[in-house]
Amino acid sequence: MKAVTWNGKRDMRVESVPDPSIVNPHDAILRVTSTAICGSDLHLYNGFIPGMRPGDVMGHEFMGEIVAVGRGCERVAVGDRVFVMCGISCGRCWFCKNTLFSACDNTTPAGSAVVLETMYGHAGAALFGYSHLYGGYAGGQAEYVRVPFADTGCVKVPPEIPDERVLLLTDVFPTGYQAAESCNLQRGDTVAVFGAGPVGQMAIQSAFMLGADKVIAIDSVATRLQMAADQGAIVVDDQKSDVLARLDELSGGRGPDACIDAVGMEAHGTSGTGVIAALDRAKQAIKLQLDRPVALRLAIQACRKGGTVSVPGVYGGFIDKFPMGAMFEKGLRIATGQTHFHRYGRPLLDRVLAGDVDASFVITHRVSLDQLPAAYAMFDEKRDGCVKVIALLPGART
Amino acid sequence: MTGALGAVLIAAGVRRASVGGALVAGLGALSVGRALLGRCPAYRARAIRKGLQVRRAVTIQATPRQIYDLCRDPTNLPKFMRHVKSVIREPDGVTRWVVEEAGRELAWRSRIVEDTPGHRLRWRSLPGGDLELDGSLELFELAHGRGTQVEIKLHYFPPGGIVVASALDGFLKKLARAHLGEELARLRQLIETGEIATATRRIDEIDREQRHLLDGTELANDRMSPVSSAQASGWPTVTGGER
Repeated sequence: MKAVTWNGKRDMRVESVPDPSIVNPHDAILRVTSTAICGSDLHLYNGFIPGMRPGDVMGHEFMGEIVAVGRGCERVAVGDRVFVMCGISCGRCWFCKNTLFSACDNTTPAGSAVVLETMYGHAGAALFGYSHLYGGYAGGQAEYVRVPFADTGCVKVPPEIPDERVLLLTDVFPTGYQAAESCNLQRGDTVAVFGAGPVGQMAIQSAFMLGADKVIAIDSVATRLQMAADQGAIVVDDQKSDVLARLDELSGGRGPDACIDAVGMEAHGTSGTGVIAALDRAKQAIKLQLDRPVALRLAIQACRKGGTVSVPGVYGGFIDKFPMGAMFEKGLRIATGQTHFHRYGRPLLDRVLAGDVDASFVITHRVSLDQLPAAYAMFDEKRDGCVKVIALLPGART
Repeated sequence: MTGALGAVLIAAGVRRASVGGALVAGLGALSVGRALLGRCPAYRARAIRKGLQVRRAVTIQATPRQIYDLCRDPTNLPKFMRHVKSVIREPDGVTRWVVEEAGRELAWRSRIVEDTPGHRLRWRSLPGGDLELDGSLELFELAHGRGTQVEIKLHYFPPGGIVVASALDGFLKKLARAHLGEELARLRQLIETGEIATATRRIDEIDREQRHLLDGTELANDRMSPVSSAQASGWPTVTGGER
């Protein structure tokens, strides 16, 4: 089959690799009809996540048709049209039973888990196509993919709805939703969303769904700010204005009730912290610091007293100058972590099917599997107004 | 405190300027070293002679009896202990172990010395094997549906009776602890899900004789049905009004 493989920093290729097969009893094999590039794939593309090996199949946002099931599968069957939650969760451990799906105990192979334990104390759930650190499972930017614990991870979709209306329920919509939900929003709240990429757009949409009165989007890419404005957000261009001063002004001097960092470890912003941002970049380059936490620092600085800082943006290692003093002084609450995807897949699908919400507005580019490597470069460089790329394969409903 | 005592001893020893004085000063230096490093070289040297002790705990969503039953049957052990090639039951509670470690085969026989079903197992290697080992498995049922806490203690002398330097001892201990952690993680996978997690893409990438090791469906705690996102009732549901 054809698959998008990682071959080194900024070296994605479409290659021919062996078809997957059922390995474990709770596996299913999915024929992929559509797949997307996630912003977090860019961290792999740019070589910021350790544990990638040449030939690894990329992609954790995908959907399609079940073509084979292991003998332990009870809920999914051959022929089902499904989207697949991008984290792999067993559905049986204590964490899954408590809906902490991304903390699943049983899906990261023991060898990878030991490395994660050394780095983080404990190992969480595996992810599709996201390095050997996160389990080493092949991803879904391919014609076929092996889906472990398919009963838990697959969500059935009715035949009539187009792929692109449900594809983003695999990752970015639940991620943006959990980020907003973690803010425990009250009517009248003001929310600042740092980063207007796909997760930021989903966080904006979700913040409105959850009752926010005012949402402020911070980014520097015009098309993304326009997309946020179209959703009803107030936009702040971090290249053109002093973000902290502007947020203070927009929230009546009080600060936003909640701040969402939808940027993560590869922040580009320099606003208000130019020297420190440059230093971050240098330290990241020589591996003194793994992550560039520009957005996170701003979010903490901006947030109102007693407010919430929600961090769906991905971080992998250590950061310097974490403003713990501001966290303490203002009594902030921080909510972060990999999304508990399985919590949100089905309920959000219901909202999509009911016509209440639609995530597909962020999709700017529709390509073929063969065009994905080039699309990585376009997405990374934010060329051509690129916000979200999906690849449509044979069998995709449009 | 130890450091202060060491400083006093050094001072006293240096003042005496004799063999006894040097000894006192040496003892002082050791104490200062202990205080500065936060560990005692003498204590560690003694620990090495006593062999390597590793302990680790894991919590599994199953009853103590289910875990006990699985572990009590030696034929199940290679399913989650990757280095174990075979465990064969012999009469009188004796098992014969063959382990492959770094391309080298080690064999020994072990006897169960304490067996309290559902609570505790202790075993000890018999003389004449490649490995000298004492081990125990203890099971504690947790309240409020938290499953069972499994504690493993292993006490062994590395094969060949190698004299291990103090620095290496800590390293070996970390290694042994990580190794034990892997095995306990696989035990939990096996009991909770009935399979061993693997990123293998195709079944034919796995040796034929290894395949049965992946599948432990019959061992799984079958009272546990999976929660799936199709089963959203009773969970935090998606809220929020239409825009």
